[in-house]
Amino acid sequence: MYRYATCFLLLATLSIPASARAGEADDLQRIIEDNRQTANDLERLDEQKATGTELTFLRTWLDRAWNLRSQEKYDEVRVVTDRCKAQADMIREKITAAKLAALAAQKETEVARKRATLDRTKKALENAKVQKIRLGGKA
Amino acid sequence: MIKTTRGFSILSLAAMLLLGVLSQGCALAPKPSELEALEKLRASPSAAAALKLKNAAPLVKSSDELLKRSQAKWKSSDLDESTDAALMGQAKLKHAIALADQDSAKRRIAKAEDDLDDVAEEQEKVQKELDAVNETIGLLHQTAQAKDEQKAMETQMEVDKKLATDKADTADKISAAELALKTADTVQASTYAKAEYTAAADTLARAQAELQQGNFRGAQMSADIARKKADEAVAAAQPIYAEKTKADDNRARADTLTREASTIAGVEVRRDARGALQRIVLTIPAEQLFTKKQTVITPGREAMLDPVATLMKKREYQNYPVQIVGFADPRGSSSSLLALTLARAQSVATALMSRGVDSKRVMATGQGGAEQVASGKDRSRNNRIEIIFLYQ
Repeated sequence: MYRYATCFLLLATLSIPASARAGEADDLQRIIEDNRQTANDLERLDEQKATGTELTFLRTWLDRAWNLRSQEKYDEVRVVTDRCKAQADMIREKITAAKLAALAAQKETEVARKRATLDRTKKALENAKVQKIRLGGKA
Repeated sequence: MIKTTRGFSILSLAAMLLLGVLSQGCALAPKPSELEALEKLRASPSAAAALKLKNAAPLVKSSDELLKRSQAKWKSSDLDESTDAALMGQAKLKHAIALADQDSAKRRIAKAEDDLDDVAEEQEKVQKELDAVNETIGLLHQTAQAKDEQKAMETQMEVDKKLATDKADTADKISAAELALKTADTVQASTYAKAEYTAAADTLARAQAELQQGNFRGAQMSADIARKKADEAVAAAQPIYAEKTKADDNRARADTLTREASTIAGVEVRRDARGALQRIVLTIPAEQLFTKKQTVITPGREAMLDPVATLMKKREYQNYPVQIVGFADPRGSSSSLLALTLARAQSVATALMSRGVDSKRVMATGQGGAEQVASGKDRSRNNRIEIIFLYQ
């Protein structure tokens, strides 16, 4: 009886790391796929095409993570996926920054346009004043 | 000694080789490009700006830690970990820079919006002022236009007035020319100054045509010429006309005188001419006034001179000079005949003057036996008194 119990414990001890490793692989796979989906979403969001290089790196790293996962180098996979997450966060902020910069440029262009209109109006006012004086009006 | 030196040299060589091997083993591996890129990025102004930003500073600091770790791993020749740390550091630092960029962009947007507000406010103000000035200009234009229209109206009125004046002046001149032509008609210039009259009439017609065409200047000139020509026609025709009229008047008066004289009993009337001088001759046989050889009118016979005197005194004939000529039968001395006839003529003249005939008109002469009107048994008819009215 004791011998059976010992065997069972031995088998259980041996089987725990194997099941844990399988669960980690699935978890990493999910992380990698989520990141891939995130990369696709970011690419769609990047209307200004400001993060082409960073997205390429991200995808490269995700491929590398996938390969490492296939080689069951899970620790290395986590290093890479952590970096991918940081990269994705950075890309998201960079896209936002690009959008804001575009909006700023648009508004600055509008300001310039309005200023030009204002300058033209001022010029028209000067001309009108000259014309008024010429017609005998007071300055 | 030599052995000792040789032994020392071998030991030195061995030591140098050992040092070489050791130094070879302790040399640093080449710096990963990822680390170099991180260092370069960290040194950029963007990273410095991000460090000042509250929400980006932790990321910069985290990146700095990763940079240190990467450098440490590189120095310990753990290149994979150095690269991993550098890449992670880059991601963090770029994230921080992106946040800084966002902040910068937000500040630009805020400034642009402020500028837009300012510009819009100024634009509104300037536009309002421009509208006001343009409105004033519009009013000034209207005023100027009104002035121009008034000026144009005044000019037109002046033109119309001048036109009316010109027209009136022209009409006056044409009227003057017409009057001159009518005056020319009164002296029958069309007959006595045909060339001038025709020229005047033609020029007047031209003036009237020019007036119809509105050519007032030309019409005035033509009218002036027409009047001048008409005046010339009058000047040329008037003496002829006056002479002709006078002659006609004289002829008519003479006709009347002849008619009236013919009604006087015992008087024979005839008309003749001596050169330019016209004569109405009233012949009275001498025996009706005088007895034979007498020079004084037989009393009681003077009465027959009454109608003659009345005729002579008529206003129409008062200007006629009257010649009273005595004639006689030529038999006898001419001197006595002349005396006889003169005396008889003077007697008749006296008788007429005594009846109120102006003595200045009367001239008595005796012609003796001249101008005989009969011979043979009618010779006595030569004894006669002729009362001759003279006119031209």
